[in-house]
Amino acid sequence: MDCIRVHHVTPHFISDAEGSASEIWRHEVIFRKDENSFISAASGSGKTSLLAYIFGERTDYSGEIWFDTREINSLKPHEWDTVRQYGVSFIFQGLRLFPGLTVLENIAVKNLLTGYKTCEEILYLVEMTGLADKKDEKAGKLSFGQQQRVAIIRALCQPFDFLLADEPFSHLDEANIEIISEIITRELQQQKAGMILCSLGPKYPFHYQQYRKL
Amino acid sequence: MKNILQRLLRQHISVPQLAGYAFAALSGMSIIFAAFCFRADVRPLFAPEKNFFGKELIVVNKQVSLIAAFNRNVTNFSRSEIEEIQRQDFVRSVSCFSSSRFRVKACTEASGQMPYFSTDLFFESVADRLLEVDPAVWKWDAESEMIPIIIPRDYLKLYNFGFSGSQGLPQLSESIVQQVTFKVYLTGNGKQERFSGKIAGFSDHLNTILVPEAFLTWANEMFGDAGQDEKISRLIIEVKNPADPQIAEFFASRPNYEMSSNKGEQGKLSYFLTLLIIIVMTVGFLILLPATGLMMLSIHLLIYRNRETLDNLILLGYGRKQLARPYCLLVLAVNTATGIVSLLLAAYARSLYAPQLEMLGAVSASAFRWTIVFAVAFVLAVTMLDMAWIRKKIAG
Repeated sequence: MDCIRVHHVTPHFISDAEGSASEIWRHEVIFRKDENSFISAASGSGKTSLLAYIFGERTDYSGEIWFDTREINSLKPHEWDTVRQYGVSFIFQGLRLFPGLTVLENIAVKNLLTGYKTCEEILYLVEMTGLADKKDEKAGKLSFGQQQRVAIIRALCQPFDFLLADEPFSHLDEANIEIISEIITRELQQQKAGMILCSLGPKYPFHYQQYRKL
Repeated sequence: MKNILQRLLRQHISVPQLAGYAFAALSGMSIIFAAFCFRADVRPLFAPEKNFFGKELIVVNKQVSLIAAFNRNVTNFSRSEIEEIQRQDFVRSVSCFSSSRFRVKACTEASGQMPYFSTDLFFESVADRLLEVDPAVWKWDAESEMIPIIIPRDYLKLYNFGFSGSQGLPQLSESIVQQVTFKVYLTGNGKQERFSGKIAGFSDHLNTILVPEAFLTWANEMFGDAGQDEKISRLIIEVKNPADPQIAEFFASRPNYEMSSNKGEQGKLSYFLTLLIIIVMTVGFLILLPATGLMMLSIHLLIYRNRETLDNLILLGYGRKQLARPYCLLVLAVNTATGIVSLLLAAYARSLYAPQLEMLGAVSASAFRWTIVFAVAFVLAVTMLDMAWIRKKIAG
């Protein structure tokens, strides 16, 4: 997948007046593979919604979203499975971890599906993010910041053309942000993939080709 | 690590619910399988014997009452009555008896074992296709002088055990009677002609003297009284299924109709037995139905409780089919186990009634094999239903 085109999209919950200042709603926006885009958004402006629309999680909008030449509402469930396994990865703001599974099991749930990373690579990432001594603990027992790191590693355990990141570092300290940004940047370069990062404020240490205000 | 998915999906499985389902389904299935097996076992008891008259045929006439003695029309069937019968669901076709419209006299030539015998007769015929008789024997054409005749077996019995003894005449076996040729005189329309007659066979349930249809048509034209229009007093009904309870219901609601069929008392017994088995099977289904409902409700609750997990897995890229599989396997395992135990219980029930049935010469060797085939198909059908429900719930 080379580009994601967001064409005159408006969420149903946003009125004309509310969305008038947006550079995305009711506009034509193209996100390209191997480009990083930063979307700054005020609370309640719909950043989580935008990513959920692109990821096929929600459809409460008017307008169109295209993956290359395919309008995403025409994708069948099994085609979405393929997109989510090989095309687009998502660091959810709500994390979507399984609290009953350990750190490694949470990561394995994704990696068993894609077989993308080796055991050593996963253990290296766990160690790099400071979770080595927590790897066999249940995810539900960890702090939100630690869980956030697990969710990030899990999102990297698959091939992708686009990485969607929704407030990925909200509960991390400067040092961890530094390390994880580096890991993500390396992954993006390796996969020649693009990233769409939504954030309330901080831009984080990435190099962006596109800035948009929601 | 591999079973992470199963661990995730099998959270919240309610063992008491599954056990409740298994127990109820076990009761229902054992009853259904045992009833099926019993029906298959006793089937040979009710298999019709070889007869000229097909087993799907019923002969109907009206009762002769006091009024009928004065007015023959009372025992005839009207057009509308025949049409009414034709409209019934169990009827395949309705046909009539054709009667001779001329005088018939038959006499034997006294020789050896055969006593001299002379009598007035009548002939009737039915469509040849209704009779299961060798076409080589049952034929007549204008050139042949020989008329094949079927008489009721009771006539011979009447002669052998009643008449012959009192008159000092010899008893006759069926094969002897079939070898004898006798003279038949047809008179009518100002003509008389002599033919030869031969008994081609005996019927058990058709109380008439039958000749081939072709012969009677020809003879009626030749000797028949043209002015006489045909009265229909007896009908042959070809039914779709002789064990159909509608047949008995129909005749029960028309007390002036008399029916006789090949099945006779056996038919009634078979009917009641079938009815009994249907009742037992219905009870089995009545138990199984809420059990299946319980299973579906249980699946619904399980998927409802695991909804968040399922949604998260779908967002991670897991296919719905993949997610349905652990639930489908669970249902398959429970149903298969239930089916096997039910079959074992049915086999045990069979071992209890088999000795009694063996004395009657029933127990069919293939009955249990058929029950196994039925059980496999049945369990598969129930499982498919459950699986379709699982897929629907997961997609939703």
